[in-house]
Amino acid sequence: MLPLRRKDSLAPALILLCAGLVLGTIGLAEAATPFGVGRPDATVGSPGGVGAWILAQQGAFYSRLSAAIRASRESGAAAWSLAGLSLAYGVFHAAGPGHGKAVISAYLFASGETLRRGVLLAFASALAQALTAIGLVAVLALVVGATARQMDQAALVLETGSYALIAAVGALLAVRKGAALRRLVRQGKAGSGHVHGPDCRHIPLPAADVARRGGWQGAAAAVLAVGIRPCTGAIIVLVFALAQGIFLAGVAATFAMALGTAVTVAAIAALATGAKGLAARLAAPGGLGPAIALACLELAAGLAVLALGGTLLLGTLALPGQA
Amino acid sequence: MRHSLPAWLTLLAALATPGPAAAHPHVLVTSRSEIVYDGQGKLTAIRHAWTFDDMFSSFAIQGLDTNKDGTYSRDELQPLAQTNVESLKDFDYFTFVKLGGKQLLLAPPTDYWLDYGADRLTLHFTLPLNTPQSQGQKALAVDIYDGTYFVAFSLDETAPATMSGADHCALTVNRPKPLDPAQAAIAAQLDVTDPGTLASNPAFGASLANTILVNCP
Repeated sequence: MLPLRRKDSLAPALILLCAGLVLGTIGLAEAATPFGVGRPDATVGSPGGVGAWILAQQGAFYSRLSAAIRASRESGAAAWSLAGLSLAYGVFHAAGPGHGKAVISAYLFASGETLRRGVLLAFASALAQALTAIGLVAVLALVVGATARQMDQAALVLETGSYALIAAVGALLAVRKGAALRRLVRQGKAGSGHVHGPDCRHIPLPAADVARRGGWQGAAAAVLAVGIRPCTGAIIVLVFALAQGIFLAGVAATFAMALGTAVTVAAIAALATGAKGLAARLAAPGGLGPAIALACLELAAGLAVLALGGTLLLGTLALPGQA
Repeated sequence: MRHSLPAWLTLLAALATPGPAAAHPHVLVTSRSEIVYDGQGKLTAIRHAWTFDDMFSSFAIQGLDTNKDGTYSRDELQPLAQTNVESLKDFDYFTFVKLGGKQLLLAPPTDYWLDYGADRLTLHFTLPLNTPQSQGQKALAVDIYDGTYFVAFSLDETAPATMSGADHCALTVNRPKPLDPAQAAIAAQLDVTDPGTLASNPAFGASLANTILVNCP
């Protein structure tokens, strides 16, 4: 039963990912950027206050990064400052426009993963993103000798796949949570004062089986969904380091960025699991009503992931039209 | 505890909710310009030389050294120059020309090419006016800026602008003041994919403007 379920839930995700990749290859033109090369960031999140100010300082940040890459060719100390700058870039970028935090936190809330798994998910998705960027630049720039436009195209394909997969993860969560909600409501209509499973056993309420929900396949899909979209900043840094003849410094900087991203996303993931744990504890003693309320919240979080993936996907598809 | 759940959810939503697209500089451009007058003293064109930052430059030139001789010739870079000027069209070339307060229409760029040296690409292009204009006593103002702040423009420190064919006129430049945090917060919210964004933020756009002013006595 269990292996079959696993297959069932992974298959639609993979189909959607494939559809996204195919769509990305055949259907998408380049994004409308002022000079026709270079991709804009995944533009999600509304940074405010200090975060926004730091983002607007990115021009100065870029100059410092490039200076640090140049300097690290000469001295080891400069390599440390490059690592520090990259780490800071990762922290603030994830807090600002990065979309990974939204996907991961909503996924965690809906699936009810533990804090430990949530933090693990944050680090795994950031690491996957770094590896994607490094792989993309290594293959396209180092091996193939691709042009900027070809690299943009490849990044766009990966982006589209990522967004399709995010939508798929959200759809899966929504279907699962919707079914759970329907079960609860039906039992409520049947007039039983407490919640029964199919075998008439009391269904354990969420807090009890939090750790088992979601499952590794769902977590892996969420990591993959976020991880196959390479960060624009990392690509630029890698290409520049390569041009300067110090690709490894770029790789190190990319991992430092990923670490910074992971720290921010993990902090938000902790909030998500904390909120979920709190909600589950509140619902635990209350019987059917609170259980339904909790199921509704989970369904909403699943739908939020679906909506986010869908919005990003539509944005990618709409870009050529705006040109 | 019962009250803290909504607070948690609100905080979580605030942190994780997708919002408007965020723009911030991805390309830094140092601009040098020439204001071109013809033999009759009519204003005919704006000629730009825009130097990109080293990171954007190294990204843009990838794979373009087609004969593998280690240098990037004008011919090798010409397809990229073509892409650049074609893409700039949707952004009005970031160049806004006003004569006596009235906006002048620009024709598509002519005479465009790229050169590469000291790790930096420079895009050269000429923007002819739709119709040459007699300037007379009117003030000419050429604004160079990206209202969505995707491209951060700054005028060259030593040679921001020159004139040709208008020796009796006087040229001055105005550079934008650095963004204060409030303006920067607006900048981070602007949608780079929507060139019309500026229309709803005229004051902000103007605060970014690099302006070349020419007055002829």
